[in-house]
Amino acid sequence: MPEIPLIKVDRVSKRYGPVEAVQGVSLDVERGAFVSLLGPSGCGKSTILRMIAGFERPDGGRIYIDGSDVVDVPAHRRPVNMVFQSYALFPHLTVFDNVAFGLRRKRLAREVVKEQSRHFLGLVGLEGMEARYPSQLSGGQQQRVALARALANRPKVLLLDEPLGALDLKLRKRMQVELKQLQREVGITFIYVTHDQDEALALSDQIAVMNRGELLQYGPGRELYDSPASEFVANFLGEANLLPCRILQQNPSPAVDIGGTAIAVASLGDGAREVGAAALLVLRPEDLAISREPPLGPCRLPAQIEDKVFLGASFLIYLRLDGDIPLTARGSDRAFFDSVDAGGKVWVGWQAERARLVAP
Amino acid sequence: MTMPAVTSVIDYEAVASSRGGRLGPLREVWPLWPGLVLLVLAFALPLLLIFPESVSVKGRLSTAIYRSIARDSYYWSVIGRSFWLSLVSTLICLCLAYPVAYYLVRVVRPSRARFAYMIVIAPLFTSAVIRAMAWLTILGRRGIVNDALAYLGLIAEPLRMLYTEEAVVVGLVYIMIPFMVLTIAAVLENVDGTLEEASRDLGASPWVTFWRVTFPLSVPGVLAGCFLVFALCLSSYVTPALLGGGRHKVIAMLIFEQFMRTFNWPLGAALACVLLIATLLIVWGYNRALSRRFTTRHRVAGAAA
Repeated sequence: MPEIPLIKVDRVSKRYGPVEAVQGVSLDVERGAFVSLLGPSGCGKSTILRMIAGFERPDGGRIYIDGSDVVDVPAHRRPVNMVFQSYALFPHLTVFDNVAFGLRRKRLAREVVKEQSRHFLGLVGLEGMEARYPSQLSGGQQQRVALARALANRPKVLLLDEPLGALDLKLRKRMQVELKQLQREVGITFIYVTHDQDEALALSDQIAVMNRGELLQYGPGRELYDSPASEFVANFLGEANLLPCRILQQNPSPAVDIGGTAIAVASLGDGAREVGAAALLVLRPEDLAISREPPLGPCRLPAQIEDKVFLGASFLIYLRLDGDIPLTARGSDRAFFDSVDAGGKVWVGWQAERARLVAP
Repeated sequence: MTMPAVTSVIDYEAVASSRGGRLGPLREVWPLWPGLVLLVLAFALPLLLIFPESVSVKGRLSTAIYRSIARDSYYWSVIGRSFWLSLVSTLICLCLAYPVAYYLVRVVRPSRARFAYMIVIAPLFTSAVIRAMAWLTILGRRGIVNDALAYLGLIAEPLRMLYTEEAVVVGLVYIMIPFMVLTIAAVLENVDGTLEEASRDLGASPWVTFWRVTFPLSVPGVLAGCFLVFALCLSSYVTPALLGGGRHKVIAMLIFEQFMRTFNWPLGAALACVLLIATLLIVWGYNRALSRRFTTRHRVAGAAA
């Protein structure tokens, strides 16, 4: 028998007045997984989190936690805990009392509350801070208190609503690493809301990309990056060149037409595509090879160099194809970078299996 | 050690004293100047003019009037009644006003909140005299309540409700509620709703959330509202005069009588000073008790820092 998912979001929708915040989203979260809900602000990711926590009631669909329907269960009876973007630490309580808040609600023995709170404060590296008030802590420390407070309840799922959003970049990177370690240590399922694609890729086992209340694609980050199912996912997760094209030939040797040149592709992607149908060819900048001589292989196009930008570890070359199509390539060969100049004629080549077709 | 920045009534002093140099305090209170001028002209000055009246007998310095007040149990009973009625009114006011403030801030939809606020404020546009008169028609011998009870056959004789201490309390509570509601609502408005969500999230029922999170964080508003209402009750004249019917004197009525009826200005002045000193003592004691609570808390927090 297949294991039931720990969280099952089943065709859930939510509207605020005329705004469809969430539209028929279904999502299964496996036990112990680190799942990110990724999307631009207003895409409905936080609303889904708030519906799982019980702060919002879905207008349609069901939510199951560990197999039982929780739509009618009030927030304080759900086995989930949340880390808020603003941390929402109680300003009138000490760090210790903040962390012990949930444990006291469970009417645990005084000793147990004390021991548990100290354990989780230790886990986030805040020993000795018990008597302080939240206002006496730095942003990063407040963040850790919020984490300890939520984890101390030993929830089945920890919900995190852009928990690192208020921290500066360096601290954020460090907290990302700590968060991932913490999740492995405690073995609790994390659902993490973010609009930062790097964060989502760095942390998650699975990423759910959302836009305008809809779930566009759900899978491991690698899969989403290598085979985006739509233009939005291709653009949102990493950088992408999107070349407008038409289907030229179907299986067994699929090919597309880009500005009059036939280019072979590994597959036409999901869904049968008619010959002549418009599509977009997704090419990652780092998958493009630039050379003076035409490269071997069936995937190559002539181009002109528009500009080049040195970024330290890598460089970008901005190109223009025939038909005025812009293209960006990323490389790390500095000798080559020095040898090319704006206006120069070059060739762009790639491996067929690196390119993906998506609907325009 | 860092300065603890817990929001409380007392912190202003710490912040003020930590800022600015020698001229700091003077320079920083400039927004207060217009108010201070008014306060000096309308409050401090009359007080200074009146005070000498109370300590002079036939042109000589004397505490005779104060001694006679202290000896006379009548004055004590009036002062005691004034404080007691004000205290009871304030507490009833708090119990009635807090739910209204909570409703305005947390329950009612924002689009309707404005209308709800208007209902709360509307009575303030009417004179206190008229509002006290309204209670006469409700509580009087031939008032609405007595008529209704008689009609229902529950009473044979009209109940004496008017001209009692209870009537005064009812009137005061009614007058003071808007002040209490608005003061508490203003503070509740600043209590972050996410904190209540966090509390629910950690397993606290709505009831526990209220008592552990919402209420403690609204205490500054409760204290401010109680201070305001208590002070207004203690100095009120019209409501106790009309609803108490002259039988249940409060100190404001007593002072009024000395000045306007018996023309015993020295006694009136002395009573006014007694009222002021008693009020200041209470405020001072209240503040001290509170600040002690807050500073012990700070000390614990500071010791760990």
